[in-house]
Amino acid sequence: MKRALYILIVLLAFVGLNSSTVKTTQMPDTRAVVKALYIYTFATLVEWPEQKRSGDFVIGVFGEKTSVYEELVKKYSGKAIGSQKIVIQNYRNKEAIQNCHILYITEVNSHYVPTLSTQMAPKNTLLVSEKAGSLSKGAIVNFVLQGNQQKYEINKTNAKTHKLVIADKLTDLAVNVIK
Amino acid sequence: MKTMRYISFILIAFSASLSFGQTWTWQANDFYKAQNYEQAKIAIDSAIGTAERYDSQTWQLRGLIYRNLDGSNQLYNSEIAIESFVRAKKVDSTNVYTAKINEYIKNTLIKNYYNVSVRLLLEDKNFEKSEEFYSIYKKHYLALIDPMYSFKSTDVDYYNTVAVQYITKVDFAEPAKKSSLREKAIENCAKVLAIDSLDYKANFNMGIIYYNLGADYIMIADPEITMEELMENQKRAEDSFLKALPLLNNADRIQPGTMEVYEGLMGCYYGLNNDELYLKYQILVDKHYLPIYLEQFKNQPKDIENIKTLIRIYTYTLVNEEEANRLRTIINELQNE
Repeated sequence: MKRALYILIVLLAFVGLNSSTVKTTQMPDTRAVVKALYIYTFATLVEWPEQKRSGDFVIGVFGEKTSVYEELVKKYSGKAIGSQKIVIQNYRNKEAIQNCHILYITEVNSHYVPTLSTQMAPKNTLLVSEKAGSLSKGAIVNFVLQGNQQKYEINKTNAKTHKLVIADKLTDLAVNVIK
Repeated sequence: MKTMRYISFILIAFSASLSFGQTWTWQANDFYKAQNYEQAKIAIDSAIGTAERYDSQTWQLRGLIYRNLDGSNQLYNSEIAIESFVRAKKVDSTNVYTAKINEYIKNTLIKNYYNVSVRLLLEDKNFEKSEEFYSIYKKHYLALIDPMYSFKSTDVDYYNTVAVQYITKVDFAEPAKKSSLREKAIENCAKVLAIDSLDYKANFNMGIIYYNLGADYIMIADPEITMEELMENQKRAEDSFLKALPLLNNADRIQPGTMEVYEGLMGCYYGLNNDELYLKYQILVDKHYLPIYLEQFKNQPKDIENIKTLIRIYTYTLVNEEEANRLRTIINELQNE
């Protein structure tokens, strides 16, 4: 008689898959980064008068320490525009605003645009705002939305008042130019 | 020389055993039970060179031995195991062992192909090899076990896992390799959606991959970017956010009220500068997390970042001016300390 081999059938289990979901990191502030990048490119496409082409290149943020300020510090603090070292400043009140090349005025403080335009014109400051209608109140560059994207508009007359020369490329890529 | 001596020893040992009337198959079985698979292999391969090859049990044992062999020839050994079981069925003319052999085949496919593919995927992170084993597993299963078997749910689980593994790799990859890893992840989500367009995980994962891709165009842009590049990056980010939206909306329909979906939609609408819809989802997310932030404030009253978050919530989403002002006073005091 044929002997049967004693072979156990071991019931094997499937190794479990762990098809969890992809995790997103803390929501990044993409808007703040876009604005910070724009502000840097403005700096590269504007020509300041001779007396502003030495010393530190100051970018000021007027308002609370917003994410735009934090992004500017993170990306540009200590770097250079040409031979000028970039310094990022935050101003809580308009009296504290000193000699800066670019002044970004947060939306909350946009009602200060007319005053700041007068105050900063002799200092050749590029005023950047983010509220509709600011160009007619003295801002030189104003952030606007076009579709889903952040764009900007320019007032060349205000730029001339501040003795700033705007590069053609900056004008060409603007969604609206007031001459 | 050492190897030769070793082989000679084994042959002498086998001959000695056989001289007492044991067959090669029984010899192999003893080695098998002792978990000495290498020697069991030598014995069973000798068995199939004799009349023992007409015994189904010899082939069954050969299958069991080969499926337990370790080493670099794992795929080759597994194929021999399967072939042996198939041969065992052929030799079994009375079909006495059919059910048992089928069970062996099934177990071998699970152990040597499916489970190996999962291990390669989750532990070794060798995704290509894992897919090779998974595909052989399915091929054999259909050919040998059940030609009508549906792999729908197994495929969904497997490809969802592959997608997650690829995307997990993105975080640690060099910038140049990130995009191909993301593409692979998207490819695997698409495989799932082709099987089941209502699969929550695939919709959500693919949505989040596109969202993260969009955010990366902005977040990791070169600080010394040109105006043209910045505009191009914004366009690419917009395209990715727009691709993410229908997928995340599907996920929301499939599994309503899920916080991770709300967070994804919130991020997309924020990136797309759509304040109305961004706020809708930010409110839902803030409502969910507010108790946690308040608890944190109770336990860590000097955590400035947490206080800033509470101020944002009370100012923009779940408006409570009185509370926002109280917290502003606290934060001013902390900053002046």
